[in-house]
Amino acid sequence: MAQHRVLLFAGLAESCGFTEVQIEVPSRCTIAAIRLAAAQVLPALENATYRVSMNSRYVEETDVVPDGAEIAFLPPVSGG
Amino acid sequence: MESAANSGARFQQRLVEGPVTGDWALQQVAGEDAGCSLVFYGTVRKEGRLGKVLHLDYEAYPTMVQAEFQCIAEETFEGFEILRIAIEHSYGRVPLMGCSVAVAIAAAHRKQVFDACANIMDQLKSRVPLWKKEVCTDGSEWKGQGS
Repeated sequence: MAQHRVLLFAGLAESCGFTEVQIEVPSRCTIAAIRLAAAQVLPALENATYRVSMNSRYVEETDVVPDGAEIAFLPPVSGG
Repeated sequence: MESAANSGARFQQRLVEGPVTGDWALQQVAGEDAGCSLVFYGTVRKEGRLGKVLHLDYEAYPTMVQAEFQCIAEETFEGFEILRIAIEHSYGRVPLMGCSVAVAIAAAHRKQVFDACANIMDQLKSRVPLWKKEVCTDGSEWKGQGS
């Protein structure tokens, strides 16, 4: 098993009540597995719209998460 | 994430707490080879969904902002004949009429700076992890993509 730090931002952090969480998942799982595990800890994620980044790059559901990667859940952006 | 002033690099960026002025960005792109410079300013307007806007509160994911701006700059250099780009964006509170983003571009000739700037702003609004909360007279809310 591996521990991952997941960062949350803006409205997503507000609806979840946290700016980061630690989740435990099998080593080298996929981003999809990270999403599922996080939603079990934070039910507000189930109906939320967000993209996922890993080590500051956008990633896809099937991408594998190496140990120690920094994961972030990003609600729709609104810079500018 | 702030870079040295006018270092000669093709791309410079920084996040600033509170409003930006654009002066820094313009200074970064200045050079003897530039025939024109363009600065785009994004400012806080008064119309909000929940009344008159009092201010915007910006949040950033700094390491990823830096990475995404770098990618956008590289893509813009590939697609447009320009010399230098500098971007500064706010985090924290920006008041009504304050400037939250400044994009400066220098080129030998004016033809492509406008299109390059439009491309940068379109990309910024679709992928750079920055968020704004609109604080109005009748409430506040986080704004969605492209707002």
